[in-house]
Amino acid sequence: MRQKTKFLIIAVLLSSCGHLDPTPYQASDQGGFGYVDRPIATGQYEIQVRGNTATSAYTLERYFNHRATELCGGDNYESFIKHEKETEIHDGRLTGYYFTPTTTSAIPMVTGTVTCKSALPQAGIVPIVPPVAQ
Amino acid sequence: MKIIKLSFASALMALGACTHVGQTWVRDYDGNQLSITSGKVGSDEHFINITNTNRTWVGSYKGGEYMVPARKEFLKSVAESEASQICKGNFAPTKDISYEMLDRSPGLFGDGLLGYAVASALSEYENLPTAAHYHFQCPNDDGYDAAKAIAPSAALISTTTIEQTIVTGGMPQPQTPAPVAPNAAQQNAVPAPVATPDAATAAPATTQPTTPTNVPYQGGYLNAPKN
Repeated sequence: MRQKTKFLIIAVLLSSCGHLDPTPYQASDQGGFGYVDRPIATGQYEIQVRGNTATSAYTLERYFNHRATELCGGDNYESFIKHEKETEIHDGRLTGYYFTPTTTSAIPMVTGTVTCKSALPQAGIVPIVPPVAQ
Repeated sequence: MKIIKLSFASALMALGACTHVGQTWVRDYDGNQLSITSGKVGSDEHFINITNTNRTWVGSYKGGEYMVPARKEFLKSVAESEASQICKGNFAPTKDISYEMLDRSPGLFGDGLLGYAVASALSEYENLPTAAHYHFQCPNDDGYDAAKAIAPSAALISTTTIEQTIVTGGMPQPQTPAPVAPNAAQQNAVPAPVATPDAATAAPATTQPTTPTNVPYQGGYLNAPKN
């Protein structure tokens, strides 16, 4: 009986560790996941969206567009989007004194600029519902 | 080594005191992935930390000891570009830029002296510097204190200052450190990577000034060098 309970506890722990939820739509957190943005000119913003390994590039692009909509007060913007990969090093080896990464993951990220057609946010905007991560 | 140790310790102390981390951007420069974190120290000072997250320098910056000055210059130019973005123009450095000359986290081998010694022994020029720390103020900020500013980088002295020197003639008079006023080109330009040791000390490359709104986004950051 005791062994069964132990097995169950271990199984539950392992299953909870293995599951990773996609990064939700959010401002960048301490781990660097989420969006960051800043104005680079009047009515022009730079946006970067980064997610964890469970977040698809498509989702990140939707987050990018959602943030652009928030910044420009609607869909009145033009954007230049570039899909990139963020390399994360998990392990490496030393060849002599030289460090060579051996285990890395390429996490998708989206960077680009947004130019609002109207520099000023429009009044009376309907609140936007954040997109759900896929 | 002592200087590096002290500068690292002072950087840690400075960052530990009332530090507010703002944003982290990830940039790719010729295959080198830089993590650029900015924020505020206290109420009036900004900081920028730039880390080469891949540790190893590749592309145009690949090389041994002779490439270290070029990489330092490159990191400094990235920091200055970032500072001008944050301040929306002028900025005033408050400390000399400091570089981390360990190719891994000192804590990786333990936080004690032994761990630091191991990390130091493993540091190689191919990976150095691993990070840069830059402190500055924005003159437009409320808490701006001109007394904290140090002399601006020679590469970014505004053309106005140079013209004034020529007009007045004679020996240049000592001046109060003024905020750096990069022009549009300097804001957008990052020095092209250099391949020779002699070229490492050359002035940063500049481009023709452009209006930011007319520049289409080219995928990189601030006209980053591309192959």
